[in-house]
Amino acid sequence: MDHPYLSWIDYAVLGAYLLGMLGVGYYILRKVPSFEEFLVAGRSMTTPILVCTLASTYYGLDVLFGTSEMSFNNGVVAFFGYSQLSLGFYFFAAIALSERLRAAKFTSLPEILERHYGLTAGILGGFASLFYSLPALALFGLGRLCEVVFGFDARLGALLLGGVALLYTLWGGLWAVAITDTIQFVLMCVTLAIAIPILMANIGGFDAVASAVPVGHFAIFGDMPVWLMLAYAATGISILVDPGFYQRIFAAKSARQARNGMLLSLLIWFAYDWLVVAGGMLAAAGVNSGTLPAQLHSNDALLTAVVYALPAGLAGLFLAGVLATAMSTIDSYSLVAGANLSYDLYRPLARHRVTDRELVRLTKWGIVLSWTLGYLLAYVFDKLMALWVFQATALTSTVLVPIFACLFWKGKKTPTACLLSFALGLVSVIAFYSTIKFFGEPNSLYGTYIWSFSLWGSRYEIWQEYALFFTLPLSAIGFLIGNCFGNNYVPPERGAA
Amino acid sequence: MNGWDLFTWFNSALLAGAAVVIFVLFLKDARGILSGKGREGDSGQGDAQAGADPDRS
Repeated sequence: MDHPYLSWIDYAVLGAYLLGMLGVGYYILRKVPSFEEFLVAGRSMTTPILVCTLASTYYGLDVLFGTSEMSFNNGVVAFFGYSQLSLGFYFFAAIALSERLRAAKFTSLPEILERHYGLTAGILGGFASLFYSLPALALFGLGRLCEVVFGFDARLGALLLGGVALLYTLWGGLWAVAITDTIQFVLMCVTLAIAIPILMANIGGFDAVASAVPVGHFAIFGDMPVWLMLAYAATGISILVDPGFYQRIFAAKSARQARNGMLLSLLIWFAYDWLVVAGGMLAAAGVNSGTLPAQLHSNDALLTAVVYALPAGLAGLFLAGVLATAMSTIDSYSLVAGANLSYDLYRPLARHRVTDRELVRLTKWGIVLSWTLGYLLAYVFDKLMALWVFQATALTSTVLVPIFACLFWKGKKTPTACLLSFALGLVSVIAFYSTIKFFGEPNSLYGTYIWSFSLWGSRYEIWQEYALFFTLPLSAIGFLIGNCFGNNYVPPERGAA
Repeated sequence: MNGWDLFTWFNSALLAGAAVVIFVLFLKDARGILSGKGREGDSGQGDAQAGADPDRS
């Protein structure tokens, strides 16, 4: 643990942060007597806590390191062409989804399918949500962070620090997650907001950046292909079926609080995105001017540059903010995945009435199991970002169309429509990725696979990121065809009446 | 100081200011939330299962 830019004060701050998180979880332990308290915080979350938990959960290490890496290599296009376009979907989610979701008092995303299409649809939704929520990428990122910052083994780091997130989630459920998210949110935002201006002063501002990086770094949309820009924007679609986002809407005290929380989060994400992009560009200038090590990897650039710029104590606080970024994602999705196992998969299939107490106990076991699965996946797959994109594409392609039909279409919607939409979405995702993997070539510049081919004298390229352009329409077609068969689902007690 | 510097300063102030204000508002709510006073009136314990388990009486 001998990082060149860190002192013992920084390590003490990090230790205090971790102990603080455990303390919060332990305090909440006595205040979550029922399943509703454990999973949706008694449906009593107000706007400030919703902002904190939304903002910190959706901004993980992928944003901190992925976006800064892109700005390090490509400049401001990382902000205008990559991160901001997807915020349009977040705005839609705030305006159109919050009221509809909150009004029906659902508890989980698969439950929406179960209520409208029956048990099989709910079970399939439970599996899709579970697969999406396994916290593999966040655990891997946490381990990598430990390796870079503390110099110890990544697997051990993920086990220890991820274990802290696991422990407080088990103790306090969504309340512990939300309150630790709140502290993590403040750490994330304030430390970044302090660090970037200090880094800017050290490097010499954007005049110094302009003289040290290629001119193209200041082109708003750079030389990024339009279809790729649209594909990046389309990644924001996943929020429309994100089980963690749904859980927070269900936990809101009212639809208005949910909508306001989401809109305020947009403001936070806008500012946060720019500071991350600015940090990446300042780091690039620091490397080119010799202020930072020449061999610095673009992925670690922001972290190294900020730790270099901050004084002792503040650097530790920033690192605590970085840990917070990962831990807030791990805790939220472990909880969602645990509830998928207990509430969405076990409860409907159990032959007896599942009590509240049993649900809490099973959810805790589910959290441990999903955390463990996430940890194993993190160190089995070597291309984890690709796995994450696959997880998000699979969930969106299978459940978005049936869920939106429930929320926005008052007409006929049959169980067959849901099942066919789910099946076509899933098959098309697997077929698309297999095709790209088989026929495509790896592209090191964008870190993806591209399949190039000629048709009728013209040259075409299909990128791995284009998956949703194919899979989502196929899922919609499956729904329309399936909707020709059968009638609306009637829940058992209504049928009996 | 050029336009990008100003934009960065603006976003730093926005992010830090918003975080602090939201945290203060959270602290105001926290006591009521943790003591259970923030619960909505029509949502009792066990309600979580009510919609999805139609066989229950």
